[in-house]
Amino acid sequence: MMENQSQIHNGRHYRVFSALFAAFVLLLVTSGVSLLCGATYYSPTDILRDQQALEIVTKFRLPRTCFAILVGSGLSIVGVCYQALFRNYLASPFTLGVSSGAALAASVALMSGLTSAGYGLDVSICAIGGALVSMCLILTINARREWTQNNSLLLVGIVYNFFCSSVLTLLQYVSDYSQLFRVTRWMMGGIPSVEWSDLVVGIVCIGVMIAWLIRHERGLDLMLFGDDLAAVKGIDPRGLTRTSFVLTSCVVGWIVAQCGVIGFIGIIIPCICRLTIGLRHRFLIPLAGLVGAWMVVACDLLGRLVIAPFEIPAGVFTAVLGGPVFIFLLMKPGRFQGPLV
Amino acid sequence: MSDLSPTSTPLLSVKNLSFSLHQRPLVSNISWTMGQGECASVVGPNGAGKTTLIRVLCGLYRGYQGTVTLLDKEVKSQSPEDLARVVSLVPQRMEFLPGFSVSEFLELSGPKRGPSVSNLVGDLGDRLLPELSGGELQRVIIAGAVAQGSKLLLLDEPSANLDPKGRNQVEEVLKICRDEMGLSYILVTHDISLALRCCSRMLVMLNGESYWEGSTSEGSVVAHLEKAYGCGFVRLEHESISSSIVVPT
Repeated sequence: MMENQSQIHNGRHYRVFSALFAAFVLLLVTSGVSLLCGATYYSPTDILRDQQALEIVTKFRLPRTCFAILVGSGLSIVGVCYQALFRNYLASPFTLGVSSGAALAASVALMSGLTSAGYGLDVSICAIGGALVSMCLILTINARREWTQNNSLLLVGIVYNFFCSSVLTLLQYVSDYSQLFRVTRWMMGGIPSVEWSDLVVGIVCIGVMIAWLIRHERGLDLMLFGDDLAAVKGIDPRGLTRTSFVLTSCVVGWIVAQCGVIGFIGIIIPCICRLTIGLRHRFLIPLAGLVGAWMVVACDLLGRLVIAPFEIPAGVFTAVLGGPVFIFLLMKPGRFQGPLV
Repeated sequence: MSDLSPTSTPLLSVKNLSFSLHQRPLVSNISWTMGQGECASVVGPNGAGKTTLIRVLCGLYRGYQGTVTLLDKEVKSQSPEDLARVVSLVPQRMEFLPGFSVSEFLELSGPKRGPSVSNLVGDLGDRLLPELSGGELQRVIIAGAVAQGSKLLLLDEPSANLDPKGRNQVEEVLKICRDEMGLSYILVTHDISLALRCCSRMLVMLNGESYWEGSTSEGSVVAHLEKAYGCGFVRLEHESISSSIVVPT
Protein backbone atom coordinates (compact mmCIF):
# COMPACT_ATOMS: atom_id res chain seq x y z
CA MET A 1 0.00 0.00 0.00
CA MET A 2 2.85 2.38 0.91
CA GLU A 3 4.52 1.46 -2.36
CA ASN A 4 1.31 2.32 -4.28
CA GLN A 5 1.07 5.69 -2.55
CA SER A 6 4.68 6.41 -3.37
CA GLN A 7 4.06 5.53 -6.99
CA ILE A 8 1.03 7.81 -7.15
CA HIS A 9 3.03 10.61 -5.52
CA ASN A 10 5.89 10.18 -7.96
CA GLY A 11 3.43 10.03 -10.84
CA ARG A 12 1.89 13.32 -9.81
CA HIS A 13 5.29 15.00 -9.53
CA TYR A 14 6.21 13.66 -12.94
CA ARG A 15 3.05 15.17 -14.43
CA VAL A 16 3.70 18.51 -12.76
CA PHE A 17 7.29 18.83 -13.86
CA SER A 18 6.45 17.59 -17.34
CA ALA A 19 3.79 20.28 -17.65
CA LEU A 20 6.17 22.96 -16.40
CA PHE A 21 8.90 21.85 -18.77
CA ALA A 22 6.51 21.65 -21.72
CA ALA A 23 5.12 25.11 -21.00
CA PHE A 24 8.61 26.55 -20.71
CA VAL A 25 9.71 25.01 -24.00
CA LEU A 26 6.52 26.19 -25.71
CA LEU A 27 7.05 29.71 -24.45
CA LEU A 28 10.69 29.67 -25.52
CA VAL A 29 9.87 28.46 -29.02
CA THR A 30 6.96 30.87 -29.49
CA SER A 31 9.04 33.77 -28.21
CA GLY A 32 11.80 32.81 -30.61
CA VAL A 33 9.37 32.77 -33.52
CA SER A 34 8.04 36.13 -32.34
CA LEU A 35 11.52 37.59 -32.66
CA LEU A 36 11.93 36.27 -36.20
CA CYS A 37 8.47 37.02 -37.58
CA GLY A 38 6.69 40.27 -38.10
CA ALA A 39 6.13 42.69 -40.97
CA THR A 40 9.43 41.29 -42.28
CA TYR A 41 10.78 37.83 -41.57
CA TYR A 42 14.37 37.67 -40.34
CA SER A 43 16.17 34.38 -40.09
CA PRO A 44 18.72 33.85 -37.30
CA THR A 45 21.56 34.32 -39.78
CA ASP A 46 19.97 37.56 -41.04
CA ILE A 47 19.92 38.84 -37.46
CA LEU A 48 23.55 37.94 -36.91
CA ARG A 49 24.77 39.45 -40.17
CA ASP A 50 22.46 42.43 -40.79
CA GLN A 51 22.85 45.37 -38.45
CA GLN A 52 19.40 46.70 -39.29
CA ALA A 53 17.78 43.34 -38.62
CA LEU A 54 19.62 43.07 -35.32
CA GLU A 55 18.47 46.53 -34.33
CA ILE A 56 14.85 45.80 -35.20
CA VAL A 57 14.91 42.58 -33.23
CA THR A 58 16.70 43.93 -30.15
CA LYS A 59 15.07 47.36 -30.02
CA PHE A 60 11.52 46.51 -31.02
CA ARG A 61 10.67 42.83 -31.13
CA LEU A 62 12.57 41.65 -28.07
CA PRO A 63 11.19 44.27 -25.67
CA ARG A 64 7.74 43.74 -27.13
CA THR A 65 7.99 39.98 -26.64
CA CYS A 66 9.25 40.46 -23.09
CA PHE A 67 6.35 42.84 -22.49
CA ALA A 68 3.89 40.24 -23.78
CA ILE A 69 5.45 37.68 -21.43
CA LEU A 70 5.00 40.06 -18.49
CA VAL A 71 1.39 40.82 -19.42
CA GLY A 72 0.42 37.19 -19.96
CA SER A 73 2.07 35.89 -16.82
CA GLY A 74 0.75 38.81 -14.76
CA LEU A 75 -2.86 38.40 -15.84
CA SER A 76 -2.94 34.64 -15.45
CA ILE A 77 -1.33 34.69 -12.00
CA VAL A 78 -3.75 37.42 -10.88
CA GLY A 79 -6.51 35.08 -12.05
CA VAL A 80 -5.04 32.24 -9.98
CA CYS A 81 -4.98 34.49 -6.94
CA TYR A 82 -8.54 35.77 -7.40
CA GLN A 83 -9.94 32.28 -7.92
CA ALA A 84 -8.30 31.05 -4.73
CA LEU A 85 -9.32 33.98 -2.55
CA PHE A 86 -12.88 34.17 -3.89
CA ARG A 87 -13.11 30.37 -4.14
CA ASN A 88 -14.67 30.80 -7.56
CA TYR A 89 -13.00 29.70 -10.77
CA LEU A 90 -14.87 32.31 -12.76
CA ALA A 91 -13.22 35.14 -10.82
CA SER A 92 -10.67 37.14 -12.82
CA PRO A 93 -9.73 40.79 -13.30
CA PHE A 94 -11.99 40.79 -16.35
CA THR A 95 -15.13 39.20 -14.90
CA LEU A 96 -14.94 41.09 -11.62
CA GLY A 97 -14.70 44.43 -13.36
CA VAL A 98 -11.26 45.29 -11.99
CA SER A 99 -9.78 45.69 -15.48
CA SER A 100 -12.73 47.85 -16.53
CA GLY A 101 -12.35 50.02 -13.46
CA ALA A 102 -8.67 50.49 -14.20
CA ALA A 103 -9.41 51.27 -17.84
CA LEU A 104 -12.06 53.82 -16.87
CA ALA A 105 -9.70 55.59 -14.48
CA ALA A 106 -6.92 55.64 -17.07
CA SER A 107 -9.27 56.92 -19.77
CA VAL A 108 -10.65 59.67 -17.55
CA ALA A 109 -7.10 60.73 -16.71
CA LEU A 110 -6.05 60.71 -20.36
CA MET A 111 -9.07 62.50 -21.76
CA SER A 112 -9.16 65.10 -19.05
CA GLY A 113 -5.59 66.04 -19.85
CA LEU A 114 -4.55 65.53 -16.24
CA THR A 115 -1.75 63.22 -17.26
CA SER A 116 0.84 63.18 -20.01
CA ALA A 117 -0.31 62.54 -23.57
CA GLY A 118 1.46 59.20 -23.76
CA TYR A 119 1.07 56.13 -21.54
CA GLY A 120 3.60 57.10 -18.92
CA LEU A 121 3.90 56.31 -15.28
CA ASP A 122 1.16 58.71 -14.22
CA VAL A 123 -1.44 56.92 -16.35
CA SER A 124 -0.37 53.70 -14.66
CA ILE A 125 -0.94 55.32 -11.26
CA CYS A 126 -4.45 56.35 -12.26
CA ALA A 127 -5.17 52.88 -13.60
CA ILE A 128 -3.85 51.29 -10.40
CA GLY A 129 -6.09 53.64 -8.44
CA GLY A 130 -9.06 52.56 -10.57
CA ALA A 131 -8.21 48.91 -9.97
CA LEU A 132 -7.94 49.46 -6.22
CA VAL A 133 -11.31 51.24 -6.10
CA SER A 134 -12.89 48.39 -8.04
CA MET A 135 -11.33 45.87 -5.68
CA CYS A 136 -12.65 47.78 -2.64
CA LEU A 137 -16.11 47.50 -4.13
CA ILE A 138 -15.65 43.78 -4.66
CA LEU A 139 -14.36 43.33 -1.11
CA THR A 140 -17.34 45.19 0.28
CA ILE A 141 -19.61 42.83 -1.62
CA ASN A 142 -17.50 39.89 -0.48
CA ALA A 143 -18.33 40.77 3.13
CA ARG A 144 -21.69 39.17 2.33
CA ARG A 145 -20.09 35.75 2.06
CA GLU A 146 -23.17 33.98 0.85
CA TRP A 147 -22.99 36.11 -2.28
CA THR A 148 -19.67 34.58 -3.37
CA GLN A 149 -21.11 31.12 -2.93
CA ASN A 150 -24.04 31.93 -5.17
CA ASN A 151 -21.99 33.53 -7.94
CA SER A 152 -23.72 36.82 -7.21
CA LEU A 153 -20.25 38.30 -6.97
CA LEU A 154 -19.83 37.69 -10.69
CA LEU A 155 -23.15 39.37 -11.42
CA VAL A 156 -21.84 42.41 -9.59
CA GLY A 157 -18.72 42.24 -11.77
CA ILE A 158 -20.83 42.08 -14.92
CA VAL A 159 -22.94 45.04 -13.83
CA TYR A 160 -19.81 46.99 -12.92
CA ASN A 161 -18.34 46.16 -16.33
CA PHE A 162 -21.47 47.57 -17.97
CA PHE A 163 -21.25 50.68 -15.82
CA CYS A 164 -17.62 51.31 -16.72
CA SER A 165 -18.32 50.65 -20.41
CA SER A 166 -21.20 53.12 -20.34
CA VAL A 167 -19.09 55.85 -18.82
CA LEU A 168 -16.31 55.13 -21.29
CA THR A 169 -18.78 55.33 -24.17
CA LEU A 170 -19.91 58.71 -22.90
CA LEU A 171 -16.31 59.91 -22.67
CA GLN A 172 -15.59 58.70 -26.17
CA TYR A 173 -18.71 60.43 -27.45
CA VAL A 174 -17.60 63.81 -26.16
CA SER A 175 -13.93 63.48 -27.07
CA ASP A 176 -12.26 64.67 -30.26
CA TYR A 177 -11.35 62.31 -33.09
CA SER A 178 -7.69 61.83 -32.22
CA GLN A 179 -8.49 61.01 -28.60
CA LEU A 180 -11.32 58.77 -29.71
CA PHE A 181 -9.11 56.80 -32.09
CA ARG A 182 -6.32 56.42 -29.56
CA VAL A 183 -8.59 55.30 -26.71
CA THR A 184 -10.61 52.96 -28.93
CA ARG A 185 -7.49 51.21 -30.21
CA TRP A 186 -6.10 51.04 -26.69
CA MET A 187 -9.31 49.52 -25.32
CA MET A 188 -9.06 46.65 -27.80
CA GLY A 189 -6.22 45.31 -25.72
CA GLY A 190 -2.98 44.98 -27.62
CA ILE A 191 0.73 44.75 -26.97
CA PRO A 192 2.27 48.10 -27.82
CA SER A 193 5.76 48.72 -29.07
CA VAL A 194 7.74 49.54 -25.97
CA GLU A 195 11.20 50.45 -24.88
CA TRP A 196 13.19 48.60 -22.26
CA SER A 197 12.58 51.38 -19.72
CA ASP A 198 8.81 50.82 -20.06
CA LEU A 199 9.18 47.34 -18.63
CA VAL A 200 10.79 48.35 -15.33
CA VAL A 201 7.59 49.16 -13.42
CA GLY A 202 5.92 46.00 -14.70
CA ILE A 203 8.87 43.82 -13.77
CA VAL A 204 8.83 45.26 -10.25
CA CYS A 205 5.06 44.97 -9.75
CA ILE A 206 4.75 41.50 -11.22
CA GLY A 207 7.95 40.28 -9.60
CA VAL A 208 6.83 41.42 -6.14
CA MET A 209 3.38 39.89 -6.66
CA ILE A 210 4.78 36.54 -7.75
CA ALA A 211 7.27 36.47 -4.89
CA TRP A 212 4.50 37.26 -2.39
CA LEU A 213 2.12 34.64 -3.75
CA ILE A 214 4.79 31.94 -3.91
CA ARG A 215 5.76 32.80 -0.33
CA HIS A 216 2.12 32.35 0.70
CA GLU A 217 1.24 29.42 -1.56
CA ARG A 218 0.17 27.31 1.43
CA GLY A 219 -2.14 30.11 2.53
CA LEU A 220 -3.75 30.22 -0.92
CA ASP A 221 -4.26 26.45 -0.81
CA LEU A 222 -5.86 26.62 2.64
CA MET A 223 -8.10 29.54 1.68
CA LEU A 224 -9.88 27.10 -0.64
CA PHE A 225 -11.24 25.40 2.49
CA GLY A 226 -12.74 28.63 3.78
CA ASP A 227 -11.52 31.47 5.98
CA ASP A 228 -12.18 29.62 9.25
CA LEU A 229 -10.21 26.48 8.46
CA ALA A 230 -7.40 28.55 6.99
CA ALA A 231 -7.29 30.61 10.19
CA VAL A 232 -7.11 27.59 12.49
CA LYS A 233 -4.31 26.18 10.34
CA GLY A 234 -2.24 29.32 11.01
CA ILE A 235 -3.19 31.62 8.12
CA ASP A 236 -4.34 35.23 8.55
CA PRO A 237 -7.14 35.30 5.94
CA ARG A 238 -7.78 39.03 6.09
CA GLY A 239 -4.12 39.97 5.93
CA LEU A 240 -3.47 37.59 3.06
CA THR A 241 -6.53 38.80 1.17
CA ARG A 242 -5.78 42.48 1.72
CA THR A 243 -2.14 42.34 0.66
CA SER A 244 -2.83 40.04 -2.28
CA PHE A 245 -5.51 42.35 -3.61
CA VAL A 246 -3.30 45.43 -3.30
CA LEU A 247 -0.46 43.73 -5.16
CA THR A 248 -2.73 42.28 -7.86
CA SER A 249 -4.46 45.64 -8.32
CA CYS A 250 -1.08 47.23 -8.99
CA VAL A 251 -0.34 44.59 -11.61
CA VAL A 252 -3.77 44.87 -13.26
CA GLY A 253 -3.58 48.66 -13.22
CA TRP A 254 -0.16 48.71 -14.85
CA ILE A 255 -1.16 46.17 -17.50
CA VAL A 256 -4.38 47.98 -18.37
CA ALA A 257 -2.59 51.33 -18.56
CA GLN A 258 -0.07 49.91 -21.00
CA CYS A 259 -2.22 47.77 -23.23
CA GLY A 260 -5.92 48.11 -22.43
CA VAL A 261 -8.21 45.26 -21.46
CA ILE A 262 -7.02 41.81 -22.50
CA GLY A 263 -9.79 39.46 -21.47
CA PHE A 264 -10.08 35.78 -20.57
CA ILE A 265 -6.42 35.17 -19.78
CA GLY A 266 -7.16 35.37 -16.06
CA ILE A 267 -9.97 32.81 -16.29
CA ILE A 268 -9.05 30.16 -18.80
CA ILE A 269 -5.33 29.84 -18.11
CA PRO A 270 -5.72 29.07 -14.38
CA CYS A 271 -8.54 26.63 -15.14
CA ILE A 272 -6.55 24.80 -17.81
CA CYS A 273 -3.56 24.61 -15.50
CA ARG A 274 -5.69 23.24 -12.66
CA LEU A 275 -7.11 20.58 -14.93
CA THR A 276 -3.54 19.59 -15.77
CA ILE A 277 -1.74 19.60 -12.43
CA GLY A 278 -4.33 20.05 -9.68
CA LEU A 279 -4.87 22.69 -7.06
CA ARG A 280 -1.50 23.16 -5.37
CA HIS A 281 -0.49 26.78 -5.86
CA ARG A 282 3.16 25.94 -5.42
CA PHE A 283 3.06 24.53 -8.96
CA LEU A 284 -0.03 26.29 -10.26
CA ILE A 285 1.45 29.79 -10.04
CA PRO A 286 4.56 29.11 -12.13
CA LEU A 287 2.64 27.00 -14.64
CA ALA A 288 -0.08 29.63 -15.05
CA GLY A 289 2.62 32.25 -15.50
CA LEU A 290 4.32 30.27 -18.25
CA VAL A 291 1.11 29.30 -20.08
CA GLY A 292 -0.37 32.79 -19.76
CA ALA A 293 2.82 34.29 -21.12
CA TRP A 294 2.80 31.84 -24.00
CA MET A 295 -0.83 32.66 -24.85
CA VAL A 296 -0.30 36.42 -25.02
CA VAL A 297 2.95 36.04 -26.99
CA ALA A 298 1.15 33.70 -29.40
CA CYS A 299 -1.87 36.00 -29.78
CA ASP A 300 0.36 39.00 -30.35
CA LEU A 301 2.33 37.04 -32.94
CA LEU A 302 -0.89 36.03 -34.69
CA GLY A 303 -2.02 39.62 -34.67
CA ARG A 304 1.20 40.71 -36.34
CA LEU A 305 1.11 38.00 -39.00
CA VAL A 306 -2.52 37.62 -40.04
CA ILE A 307 -2.82 40.91 -41.92
CA ALA A 308 0.84 41.95 -41.93
CA PRO A 309 2.07 44.64 -42.09
CA PHE A 310 -1.03 45.78 -40.23
CA GLU A 311 -1.71 44.45 -36.74
CA ILE A 312 -4.73 43.06 -34.97
CA PRO A 313 -4.61 43.64 -31.18
CA ALA A 314 -3.87 40.54 -29.12
CA GLY A 315 -7.00 41.17 -27.07
CA VAL A 316 -9.13 40.31 -30.12
CA PHE A 317 -7.60 36.83 -30.32
CA THR A 318 -7.79 36.18 -26.59
CA ALA A 319 -11.50 37.00 -26.74
CA VAL A 320 -12.08 34.85 -29.85
CA LEU A 321 -10.23 31.89 -28.35
CA GLY A 322 -11.16 32.52 -24.74
CA GLY A 323 -14.91 32.87 -25.15
CA PRO A 324 -15.59 29.30 -26.37
CA VAL A 325 -13.14 27.88 -23.83
CA PHE A 326 -14.93 29.82 -21.10
CA ILE A 327 -18.28 28.37 -22.15
CA PHE A 328 -16.75 24.89 -22.31
CA LEU A 329 -15.44 25.28 -18.76
CA LEU A 330 -18.85 26.43 -17.57
CA MET A 331 -20.39 23.27 -18.95
CA LYS A 332 -17.71 20.82 -17.85
CA PRO A 333 -18.72 18.71 -14.86
CA GLY A 334 -16.35 17.36 -12.28
CA ARG A 335 -13.75 18.66 -9.97
CA PHE A 336 -13.78 22.26 -11.12
CA GLN A 337 -17.43 22.87 -11.83
CA GLY A 338 -19.24 25.94 -10.56
CA PRO A 339 -17.67 27.60 -7.54
CA LEU A 340 -14.09 26.46 -7.34
CA VAL A 341 -14.77 24.04 -4.57
CA MET B 1 -12.23 21.85 38.32
CA SER B 2 -9.51 19.39 37.34
CA ASP B 3 -6.86 18.35 39.82
CA LEU B 4 -3.65 20.13 38.92
CA SER B 5 -0.42 20.21 40.84
CA PRO B 6 0.53 23.73 41.88
CA THR B 7 3.53 23.72 39.60
CA SER B 8 1.94 22.33 36.41
CA THR B 9 0.91 24.77 33.72
CA PRO B 10 -2.70 24.21 32.75
CA LEU B 11 -3.20 23.53 29.09
CA LEU B 12 -6.31 25.65 29.05
CA SER B 13 -7.51 28.25 31.51
CA VAL B 14 -10.78 30.11 31.03
CA LYS B 15 -11.76 32.79 33.54
CA ASN B 16 -15.03 34.69 33.44
CA LEU B 17 -15.38 34.32 29.70
CA SER B 18 -18.23 36.18 28.06
CA PHE B 19 -18.85 36.69 24.39
CA SER B 20 -21.61 38.41 22.44
CA LEU B 21 -22.30 38.58 18.73
CA HIS B 22 -24.49 41.32 17.26
CA GLN B 23 -25.23 42.37 20.83
CA ARG B 24 -26.64 38.97 21.66
CA PRO B 25 -24.82 37.20 24.51
CA LEU B 26 -23.77 33.73 23.43
CA VAL B 27 -21.49 32.75 26.31
CA SER B 28 -21.61 34.20 29.83
CA ASN B 29 -19.20 33.97 32.71
CA ILE B 30 -17.56 30.63 31.89
CA SER B 31 -14.65 29.54 34.04
CA TRP B 32 -12.88 26.28 33.31
CA THR B 33 -9.45 24.75 33.55
CA MET B 34 -7.99 21.78 31.75
CA GLY B 35 -4.69 20.11 32.40
CA GLN B 36 -2.22 18.74 29.91
CA GLY B 37 -3.07 15.24 28.80
CA GLU B 38 -6.74 15.53 29.78
CA CYS B 39 -9.65 14.87 27.48
CA ALA B 40 -12.89 16.69 28.11
CA SER B 41 -16.30 16.87 26.54
CA VAL B 42 -18.65 19.82 26.25
CA VAL B 43 -22.32 18.88 26.10
CA GLY B 44 -25.60 20.72 26.29
CA PRO B 45 -28.76 21.40 24.35
CA ASN B 46 -28.76 23.26 21.03
CA GLY B 47 -27.96 26.92 21.47
CA ALA B 48 -26.12 26.36 24.75
CA GLY B 49 -23.01 28.06 23.41
CA LYS B 50 -20.83 24.99 22.85
CA THR B 51 -19.67 25.90 19.35
CA THR B 52 -19.18 29.51 20.40
CA LEU B 53 -16.93 28.36 23.22
CA ILE B 54 -14.89 26.25 20.82
CA ARG B 55 -14.55 29.13 18.35
CA VAL B 56 -13.29 31.38 21.16
CA LEU B 57 -10.75 28.76 22.26
CA CYS B 58 -9.27 28.41 18.76
CA GLY B 59 -9.13 32.15 18.15
CA LEU B 60 -11.89 32.52 15.59
CA TYR B 61 -13.76 34.83 17.95
CA ARG B 62 -11.38 37.33 19.53
CA GLY B 63 -13.69 39.99 20.85
CA TYR B 64 -14.42 38.22 24.13
CA GLN B 65 -14.34 39.48 27.71
CA GLY B 66 -12.46 37.64 30.41
CA THR B 67 -9.29 35.63 29.92
CA VAL B 68 -8.65 32.57 27.84
CA THR B 69 -5.13 31.24 27.98
CA LEU B 70 -3.48 28.27 26.32
CA LEU B 71 -0.25 27.32 28.10
CA ASP B 72 -0.38 30.66 29.92
CA LYS B 73 -0.65 32.74 26.74
CA GLU B 74 -3.76 34.79 26.05
CA VAL B 75 -5.54 33.52 22.96
CA LYS B 76 -6.53 36.87 21.51
CA SER B 77 -3.01 38.22 21.68
CA GLN B 78 -1.53 35.40 19.62
CA SER B 79 -1.18 35.39 15.85
CA PRO B 80 -2.98 32.66 13.88
CA GLU B 81 0.38 31.04 13.20
CA ASP B 82 1.33 30.87 16.91
CA LEU B 83 -2.13 29.71 17.91
CA ALA B 84 -2.09 26.91 15.33
CA ARG B 85 0.94 25.41 17.08
CA VAL B 86 -1.06 25.03 20.29
CA VAL B 87 -4.63 24.33 19.24
CA SER B 88 -6.28 22.78 16.21
CA LEU B 89 -9.91 22.50 15.21
CA VAL B 90 -12.04 19.80 13.66
CA PRO B 91 -15.05 21.83 12.54
CA GLN B 92 -18.64 20.68 12.68
CA ARG B 93 -18.82 20.70 8.93
CA MET B 94 -16.47 21.63 6.14
CA GLU B 95 -17.56 24.91 4.62
CA PHE B 96 -15.80 24.07 1.35
CA LEU B 97 -14.28 20.84 0.14
CA PRO B 98 -11.79 21.42 -2.69
CA GLY B 99 -10.46 18.55 -4.74
CA PHE B 100 -7.20 17.99 -2.89
CA SER B 101 -6.07 14.47 -2.22
CA VAL B 102 -5.83 13.11 1.32
CA SER B 103 -2.04 13.29 1.27
CA GLU B 104 -2.10 16.87 -0.04
CA PHE B 105 -4.50 17.87 2.74
CA LEU B 106 -2.24 16.34 5.39
CA GLU B 107 0.77 18.05 3.84
CA LEU B 108 -1.04 21.39 4.02
CA SER B 109 -2.19 20.80 7.58
CA GLY B 110 1.17 20.65 9.23
CA PRO B 111 4.59 19.14 9.64
CA LYS B 112 3.78 16.22 11.95
CA ARG B 113 2.99 13.57 9.37
CA GLY B 114 4.61 10.56 10.93
CA PRO B 115 3.34 6.97 11.21
CA SER B 116 0.70 7.99 13.78
CA VAL B 117 -1.02 10.30 11.30
CA SER B 118 -0.74 7.69 8.55
CA ASN B 119 -2.30 5.22 10.96
CA LEU B 120 -5.28 7.54 11.38
CA VAL B 121 -6.04 7.75 7.67
CA GLY B 122 -5.34 4.08 7.11
CA ASP B 123 -5.79 2.96 3.54
CA LEU B 124 -7.34 6.15 2.20
CA GLY B 125 -4.13 6.85 0.35
CA ASP B 126 -4.44 9.33 -2.49
CA ARG B 127 -8.19 9.55 -2.77
CA LEU B 128 -9.72 12.96 -3.30
CA LEU B 129 -11.48 14.61 -0.38
CA PRO B 130 -14.86 15.00 -2.14
CA GLU B 131 -14.87 11.26 -2.89
CA LEU B 132 -14.70 10.22 0.77
CA SER B 133 -17.63 9.04 2.83
CA GLY B 134 -18.66 11.01 5.92
CA GLY B 135 -16.74 8.84 8.34
CA GLU B 136 -13.64 8.70 6.15
CA LEU B 137 -13.66 12.47 5.75
CA GLN B 138 -13.88 12.97 9.49
CA ARG B 139 -10.92 10.63 10.01
CA VAL B 140 -8.91 12.66 7.51
CA ILE B 141 -9.89 16.00 9.07
CA ILE B 142 -8.94 14.72 12.52
CA ALA B 143 -5.67 13.45 11.08
CA GLY B 144 -5.10 16.89 9.59
CA ALA B 145 -5.68 18.46 13.00
CA VAL B 146 -3.19 16.01 14.54
CA ALA B 147 -0.68 16.74 11.77
CA GLN B 148 -0.56 20.36 12.94
CA GLY B 149 1.37 19.12 15.93
CA SER B 150 -0.73 21.12 18.35
CA LYS B 151 -1.22 20.27 22.01
CA LEU B 152 -5.01 20.56 22.07
CA LEU B 153 -7.57 19.31 19.58
CA LEU B 154 -11.01 20.87 19.48
CA LEU B 155 -13.66 18.66 17.87
CA ASP B 156 -17.05 20.18 17.16
CA GLU B 157 -19.60 17.38 16.87
CA PRO B 158 -17.34 15.13 14.81
CA SER B 159 -19.87 12.28 14.67
CA ALA B 160 -22.90 14.36 13.75
CA ASN B 161 -24.67 13.21 10.55
CA LEU B 162 -22.63 10.02 10.44
CA ASP B 163 -23.99 6.51 10.19
CA PRO B 164 -23.08 4.00 12.92
CA LYS B 165 -20.00 2.85 11.01
CA GLY B 166 -18.85 6.43 10.62
CA ARG B 167 -19.39 7.14 14.31
CA ASN B 168 -17.36 4.04 15.18
CA GLN B 169 -14.54 5.27 12.96
CA VAL B 170 -14.51 8.62 14.73
CA GLU B 171 -14.48 6.97 18.14
CA GLU B 172 -11.64 4.70 17.06
CA VAL B 173 -9.62 7.71 15.98
CA LEU B 174 -10.29 9.57 19.22
CA LYS B 175 -9.05 6.62 21.24
CA ILE B 176 -5.90 6.43 19.14
CA CYS B 177 -5.31 10.13 19.74
CA ARG B 178 -5.85 9.72 23.49
CA ASP B 179 -4.23 6.39 24.22
CA GLU B 180 -1.45 6.09 21.68
CA MET B 181 -0.51 9.69 21.02
CA GLY B 182 -1.27 11.18 24.42
CA LEU B 183 -3.13 14.13 22.88
CA SER B 184 -5.57 16.34 24.75
CA TYR B 185 -8.87 17.14 23.15
CA ILE B 186 -12.17 18.85 23.84
CA LEU B 187 -15.08 17.06 22.28
CA VAL B 188 -18.32 18.90 21.64
CA THR B 189 -21.03 16.32 21.12
CA HIS B 190 -24.64 15.37 21.64
CA ASP B 191 -23.58 11.73 21.85
CA ILE B 192 -23.37 11.36 25.64
CA SER B 193 -22.14 7.78 25.41
CA LEU B 194 -19.25 8.87 23.19
CA ALA B 195 -18.43 11.62 25.66
CA LEU B 196 -18.39 9.18 28.56
CA ARG B 197 -16.26 6.63 26.73
CA CYS B 198 -13.72 9.05 25.29
CA CYS B 199 -13.40 11.77 27.91
CA SER B 200 -12.48 11.90 31.56
CA ARG B 201 -14.13 15.26 32.23
CA MET B 202 -17.36 16.89 31.14
CA LEU B 203 -18.62 20.46 30.96
CA VAL B 204 -22.39 20.79 30.70
CA MET B 205 -23.50 24.09 29.21
CA LEU B 206 -26.94 25.64 29.34
CA ASN B 207 -28.06 29.02 27.97
CA GLY B 208 -24.50 30.12 27.40
CA GLU B 209 -23.38 29.38 30.94
CA SER B 210 -21.53 26.60 32.65
CA TYR B 211 -24.16 24.41 34.26
CA TRP B 212 -21.93 21.68 35.68
CA GLU B 213 -18.33 20.58 35.38
CA GLY B 214 -16.83 17.37 36.70
CA SER B 215 -15.53 13.90 36.09
CA THR B 216 -17.43 11.60 33.72
CA SER B 217 -17.12 8.82 36.28
CA GLU B 218 -19.21 10.69 38.83
CA GLY B 219 -22.59 9.17 39.60
CA SER B 220 -24.34 12.52 39.30
CA VAL B 221 -23.57 12.95 35.60
CA VAL B 222 -26.93 11.61 34.43
CA ALA B 223 -28.85 13.83 36.83
CA HIS B 224 -27.07 16.92 35.61
CA LEU B 225 -27.68 15.95 32.00
CA GLU B 226 -31.38 15.46 32.65
CA LYS B 227 -31.70 18.94 34.12
CA ALA B 228 -29.71 20.55 31.33
CA TYR B 229 -31.42 18.80 28.44
CA GLY B 230 -34.83 18.77 30.01
CA CYS B 231 -35.40 15.09 29.28
CA GLY B 232 -34.73 11.80 31.00
CA PHE B 233 -31.57 9.76 30.46
CA VAL B 234 -30.92 6.16 31.31
CA ARG B 235 -27.60 4.46 31.76
CA LEU B 236 -27.42 0.99 30.23
CA GLU B 237 -24.79 -1.57 30.96
CA HIS B 238 -24.12 -4.80 29.07
CA GLU B 239 -21.50 -7.46 29.53
CA SER B 240 -20.49 -7.17 25.87
CA ILE B 241 -19.30 -3.59 26.26
CA SER B 242 -16.74 -2.30 28.69
CA SER B 243 -18.44 1.00 29.40
CA SER B 244 -22.03 2.07 29.86
CA ILE B 245 -24.30 3.71 27.32
CA VAL B 246 -26.39 6.73 28.23
CA VAL B 247 -29.40 7.34 26.04
CA PRO B 248 -32.33 9.75 26.34
CA THR B 249 -35.65 8.27 27.30
